[in-house]
Amino acid sequence: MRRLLNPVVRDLMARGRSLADDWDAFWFRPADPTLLGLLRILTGLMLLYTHAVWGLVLGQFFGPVSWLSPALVRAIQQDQYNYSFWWLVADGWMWPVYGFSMAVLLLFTLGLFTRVTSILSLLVVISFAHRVPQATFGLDQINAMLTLYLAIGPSGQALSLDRFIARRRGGSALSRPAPSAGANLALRLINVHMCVIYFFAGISKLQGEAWWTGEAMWRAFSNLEYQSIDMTWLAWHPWLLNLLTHVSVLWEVFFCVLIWQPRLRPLMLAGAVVLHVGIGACLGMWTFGLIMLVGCASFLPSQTVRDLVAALSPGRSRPWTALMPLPTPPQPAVPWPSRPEVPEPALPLNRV
Amino acid sequence: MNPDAHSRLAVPGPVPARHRNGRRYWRWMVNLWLVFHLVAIIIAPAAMDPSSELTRSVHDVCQPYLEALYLDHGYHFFAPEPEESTLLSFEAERPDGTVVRGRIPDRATQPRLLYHRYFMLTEHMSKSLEEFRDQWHESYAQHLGRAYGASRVKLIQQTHLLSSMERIREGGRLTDPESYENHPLGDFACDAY
Repeated sequence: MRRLLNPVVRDLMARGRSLADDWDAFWFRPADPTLLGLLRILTGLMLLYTHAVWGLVLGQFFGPVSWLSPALVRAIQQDQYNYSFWWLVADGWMWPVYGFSMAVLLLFTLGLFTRVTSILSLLVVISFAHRVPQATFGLDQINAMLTLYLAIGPSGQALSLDRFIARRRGGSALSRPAPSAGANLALRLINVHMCVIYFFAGISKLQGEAWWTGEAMWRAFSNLEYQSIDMTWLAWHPWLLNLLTHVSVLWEVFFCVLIWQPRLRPLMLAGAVVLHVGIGACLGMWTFGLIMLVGCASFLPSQTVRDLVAALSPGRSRPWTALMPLPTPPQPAVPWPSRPEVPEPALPLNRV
Repeated sequence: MNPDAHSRLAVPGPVPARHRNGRRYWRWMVNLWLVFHLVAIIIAPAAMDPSSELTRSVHDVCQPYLEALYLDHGYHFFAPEPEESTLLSFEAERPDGTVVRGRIPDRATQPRLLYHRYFMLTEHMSKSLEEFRDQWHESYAQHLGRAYGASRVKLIQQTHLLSSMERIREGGRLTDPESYENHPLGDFACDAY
């Protein structure tokens, strides 16, 4: 009996170990933080814009006699865990607190003191959203989600003032950020969360008849309050509306599977661009469309991002990838999160 | 990258046993949090109506975490299907008898993000729970009274019905008056003006 069971146990243990290795590699394999730095800048710009717009109507939404009175919001949020620093702000302090919040978001976008400003930015984003929950929509949800993961990962290790200062202090040996398990963890969390969002956005539509009859896109385009471009000409092209309806549901439902296929990833990302630019142009939700594209950008290959950064960097005519082939070969999982950053050796070729 | 760099990154060198234990502990903690977090972000949309008792029970466990991090969302964008929109018309009467009339959202509002903020105010109001409805209307009325220096505010909820393709093909327009339904919400005395 023992002789019969031993191979089974050994096989199960080997499979378990393999699964654990895959899990470790998926979440903790050190990754180039450049993409995370780019996402920080893009998300930070959106946060600055979102909160700058709040500044146009600060008294209307955060003042003592606001659209959503403190009594109403507290009543709706009773028994919930929705904290907001706005509950602690006295009337006279509304503008100073707003100014401090904007300063935090600016520092986060620039990547200065990022370890601290990323966490403070998360507090700012959540506090604003929890104070006026009935004035928020998908944009605020994605803003908060991205800020959370950028606070978890070392989003200030690349494309940041923190990096610039470190380079000035450390000389050329610190000219490029080292791959980091934390960067990979943050990017993977964004990847997976985007999959969850699209999957549930897709399957929740399957409850609605209009997404089956192919009329849902018409219902969206013909909603005057959303409409920013007159799309009523589509009433003469119902088949096109049917096609757009079916393709968008299929794309959303299967995004979580197909985006992981290297050959299909460019197609899925191109679909994201079409979908979200369409939402921005036709339904007037540019901010939502753009922040969703920022989330989708987390699926971009590191090499592409490095090339892009190199191309945009002043005084560098040669992409970094010519000097440092990427993607990096698989590396064994390294101790995390206490692994110290190792300065990379000088490059074998001179930079132009 | 120089192969040496890889080896330097991957092999951290001999680590004292105390540090090894510390790292192992951290690793376990991070993995446990990761599993919990993944369950939480999946259960948040899964527990939205309609949902099973099982998913709601798991959601109850994750709810404080999800709410504190503003992650408790259904992501039901335009689901189950795109619906008609809700607007709010108002008449604010000042003590001198003059009346200010308006409607939110106003399509002339710029920037567009601000327009969407107002739009969300009316959309969320139309879907509010019965128990909060009166307080909700009162809050909007008091704000309008303060904004326009009015002593009385009358609110009317407007539902803008969607037009069918046939109606548009037959010459109808999205702005036709018959596509709006009015639901008076009441007159409110404003004490904050």
